[in-house]
Amino acid sequence: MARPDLQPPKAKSVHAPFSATLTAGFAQRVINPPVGIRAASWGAAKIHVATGIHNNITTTALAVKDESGKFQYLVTVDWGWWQGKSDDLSVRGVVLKELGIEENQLQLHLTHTHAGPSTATDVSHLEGGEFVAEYHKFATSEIIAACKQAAKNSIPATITWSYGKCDLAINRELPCGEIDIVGFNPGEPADDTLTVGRVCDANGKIIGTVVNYACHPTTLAWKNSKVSPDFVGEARDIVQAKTGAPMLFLQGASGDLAPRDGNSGDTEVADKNGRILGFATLATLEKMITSGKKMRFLEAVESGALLGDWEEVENQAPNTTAAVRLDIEVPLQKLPTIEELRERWKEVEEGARETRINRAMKLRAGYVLEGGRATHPVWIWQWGDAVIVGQPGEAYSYFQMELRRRHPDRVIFVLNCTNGPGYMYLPTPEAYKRFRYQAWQTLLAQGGLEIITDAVSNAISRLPRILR
Amino acid sequence: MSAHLTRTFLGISRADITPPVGISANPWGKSYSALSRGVHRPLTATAVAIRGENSKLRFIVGLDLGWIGCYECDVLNFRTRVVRELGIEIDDLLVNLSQTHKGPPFCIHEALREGKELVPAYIEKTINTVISVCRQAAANVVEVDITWGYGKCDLGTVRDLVVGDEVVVGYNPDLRPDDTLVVGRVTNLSGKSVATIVNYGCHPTSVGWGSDLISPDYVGRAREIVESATEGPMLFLLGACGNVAPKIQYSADVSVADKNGEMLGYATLATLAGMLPPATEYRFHQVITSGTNLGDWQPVPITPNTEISAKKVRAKLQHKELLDEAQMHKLWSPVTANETFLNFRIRKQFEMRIDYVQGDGTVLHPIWIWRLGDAVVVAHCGEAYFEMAQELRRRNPNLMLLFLDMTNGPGYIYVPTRIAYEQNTYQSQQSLLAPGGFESMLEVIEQELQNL
Repeated sequence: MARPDLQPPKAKSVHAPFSATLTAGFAQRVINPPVGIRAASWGAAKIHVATGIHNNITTTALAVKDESGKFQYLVTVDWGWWQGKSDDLSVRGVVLKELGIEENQLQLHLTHTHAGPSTATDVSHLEGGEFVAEYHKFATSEIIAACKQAAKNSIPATITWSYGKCDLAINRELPCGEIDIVGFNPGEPADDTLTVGRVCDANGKIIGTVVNYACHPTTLAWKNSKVSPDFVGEARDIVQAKTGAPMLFLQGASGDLAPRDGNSGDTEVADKNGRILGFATLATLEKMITSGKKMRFLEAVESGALLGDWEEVENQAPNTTAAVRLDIEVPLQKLPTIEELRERWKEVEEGARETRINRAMKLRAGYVLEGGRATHPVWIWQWGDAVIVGQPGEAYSYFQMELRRRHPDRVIFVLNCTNGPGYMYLPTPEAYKRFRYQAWQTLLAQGGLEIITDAVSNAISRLPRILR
Repeated sequence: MSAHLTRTFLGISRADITPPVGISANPWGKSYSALSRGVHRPLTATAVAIRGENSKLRFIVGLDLGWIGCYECDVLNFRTRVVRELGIEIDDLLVNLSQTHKGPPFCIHEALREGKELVPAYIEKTINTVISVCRQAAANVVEVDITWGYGKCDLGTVRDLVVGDEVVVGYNPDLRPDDTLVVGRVTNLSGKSVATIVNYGCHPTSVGWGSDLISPDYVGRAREIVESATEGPMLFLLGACGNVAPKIQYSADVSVADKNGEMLGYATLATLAGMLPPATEYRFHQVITSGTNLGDWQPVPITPNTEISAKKVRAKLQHKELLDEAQMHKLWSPVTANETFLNFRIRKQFEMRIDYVQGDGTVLHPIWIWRLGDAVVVAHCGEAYFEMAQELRRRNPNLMLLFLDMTNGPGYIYVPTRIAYEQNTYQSQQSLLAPGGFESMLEVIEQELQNL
C-alpha cells in the first residue's frame, strides 16, 4: 500500500548524477614503436633500447564540441614525459597545425609510463636513437588521425561522471634518516580517488570511457627492457573488453604516488597492477545509474517494513561547456648557472654530466622568462558537471584532493603531464624540507603548488554554475 | 609492511539448493503473489571446513537464503541435526544467510502463501544438502594459506531515509556508508586457488516484489565474476547491513541484481589483484641509485599465523518492554491481513525470545568469535548497523576483522544505533533490544578482541 502522505523535502526528493550532454566522439590508434628504439627512462638500467613490446602503446582521442561549434580534443598518449618545450612542440605543434586548431583546443596528455619510447628529439646519436625521429613522425600522424577520426565519430552523447575508489596507489616518500627517498611508505595513506566518465549514445550504448587516476606507472623499471604502457595497458584491456569501446586514461596528480608493487622487471606485475585499476573502473561503471536518467523518490510503500522506493526518470543533463587557460605566475628556486652545474656534477663522467646539463637547460627553455619570472600554464575545460584540469607538471596529490575538496558540486579530472611547458614536479612544502628528489628536480620554489592550486580553484569557482 | 595471513587446513564444497519453481519465494509484503515462476540464478550452499587444534573440525556455511527467525526451525530442526550428523558441537558451525529476499522460507511456519506446499520438502532436502556439503568440505581439507585484504566496494548505501515524520527503508543520498570489503584468498601450498572468502555488508534487496523469479540477488553475479577469474568457489558472508542496501533496489528487473553484483564482483577482483604472493610480507630491501635514490621493497616469505580458536560469548543487553499475547492481538489485528498471518506473527515473537530473553529485563545475545590466524570472525544472528563493524575495525587496525550478520541464532533482531531509536526507524521498532543495545554489544565484542 502506497503512503502518498509521506514525501521527503522537495530538495531531497531528486538525486541526479553528475552528467553532461555533448557532441562527442572517440578514436584509438596503436602506435607501437620499433623494437630497438631508444627507451631509457631509468638511470639504473643496463639496457637502453626496447627489446620487445609488452602491451600496445596507444593514442586515444576524445573530441567534444564546445558551445561555439569548435572541437576540443582531449588526447592521451602512452608515453612518459617531455624533457623540454622543443620535444613537446615537435609533436603537439604539428598536431595543432595539421588539425588547424588553436593551442587551447588541445590537451595532449602523456600517461607517464616509465617503459615508453624516448620522447626526446636530440638522441639520434645514442643507441636506438636512430629510430626516434621516424617513430615520432609516425606517432604524430596517428595522433592527428585519431583526432580527426574522433571528430568524425562524434555524435550526440550523454556522459555520466562518477567518483570511485582504487587502491593501486601508495605514498612513495619513504623517510630514511634526514631525507626521504622514492619508495613505498606504508605509514602514509594515499589518495584513492578514481574518476570515471561513461560516454553513451542515445541508446545508452557506451562509446567510450574516460578514466583519471593518480599513480606513477613505475611498475616496470630498470630491470625491464620491453616497451610497455605499464599498468595502464592491462586496465584498458579489461575495461575495453567489457565496454567494447575505447578507454581514455588520464594520469592524475601523482607526484607522490606509485604502485606498491613496482620497480619490477616482470611484466606480469604491471598486468596485476592493471587489474586493480581495471576492475575498480568496472565497479565504478556499474555504480552509475542508467545513462540519461536521474533518481526521483517515487513513494513510501507499506511492505513488511515501510519502504522508500525510488524510480529512474529522464534527466536533463547540462550541455554547458567552457574553456579557460591560466598562466599562473610562480616563484622559482635560485637556478644554478651552467658553470655551477658543471661544478656540482664534476664527479660525474663527462658525457653523463653534459646530458644532465642539457636536460636542466631544456627544462628551463620557454618556461623561465626574462627577469627570472615564470608562468605555469593550466587548461581548465568544463563539460557539464565535470571540469578537466590539465597542466604539464607532476603535481602532488594535494592538488587534486584540494580541488575536489573545495568543489564537491563538480566532478574534477586532474591531469599531470599535459601540454607544456612546465615539465616539472609541483611538490608540497614538506618535500622541500625533506630534500626529496621532486623538490630538487623542479624549478619551482616552495609555495608554487599552493599558488597554482588557489588560482585553479578560483577559476573553477568562476565557471558557469549548474543548478543541480 | 605486515600482512594478514593464516595457514591452516581447509576444505570447501558447493552444492545447488535452488528450490523447485512454483515454490513460495516472494516474501515481500507488497507482493501480490508469492509464487515463483522461474529462476534468475541458482541458489547455493557453500561450506568451508576448517581443521583446527587437535584435529577439531569447524564449519562455516554460506546459504543463499533469506532468514529463519524461528528457534524451532533454526536451532532444533536445522543446526542441531546438522551438527549431530557431522559429529561436532553446535557452536562449531556458523551458518551465514545471505539474506536474499527472493528465496523460499526456511521456516515451515512462515510458509503461508502460494507455493507453501513445496516448502517442507525443500527445507528437508536443503538440510540434507548442507550436511553432505559439509562432509564434502571436510573431505576436501588440505593445508592452505589464506591471504586477507581489506578492499573497498561502493555497492552499499545507507537506507534510513527521513520522509515527513517517519524514517522509511530507502536510499539516502546524504549519508556515507562503510565501504569496507574483506577478501580472503585461499590457496594451497602450491599457490593454486582453492577458494575466495568475501565479507561485505549490504542487504540483498536489489530485486523486489515485482519479480516472480528465485534469485540469490547481487551475490549470484558477484560470485560468477569472482569464480570465473579464480577457479575456486567463493564463500559470501553477509556483513553488518542493518542500515545498508543498494542504491538501486526493490526492482522487478533481475538485471539490477546482476549490475549490483558486478560492483561487488569487480571490487573483489580488484582487491585480489592487490594481494602479495601467499605467505609473504613486504620488506624494505635496499636503496637503488637511479635518477634518484629509489626504495626497493620485496615480498619475502614468512611463516603465517596458524592459530585457530573459537569462543562463544553471550552479551547481556537490556530489552524493551515486551508485549504479551493479548497486546499483540490488539495491536496487530487491525493491520494484519488475516488470522493465519496474525498467529504466525505472534508465534514468531515468542520464538524470538526462546533461549534469548531472560527474566531480568535482559537478553543474552550470542556472539561467536573465531580466530583464524591473523583474522578474526565475529558472528551473530542479528542485523547490526554498519557502524558496529566500522567502529570495531577503527579500534583494531591491526586485526583483520570479518563481521557476520545473520549467523546462527537466537537473536533474530536488528541491532540499531541509539540514533536509530531516536528516529524511530523500522529497525528500532523490530528489535527486541532497548536503546543502547548496539553500544553495549560493541563494547562486549571490543573487550573480547582485546583479550585475544
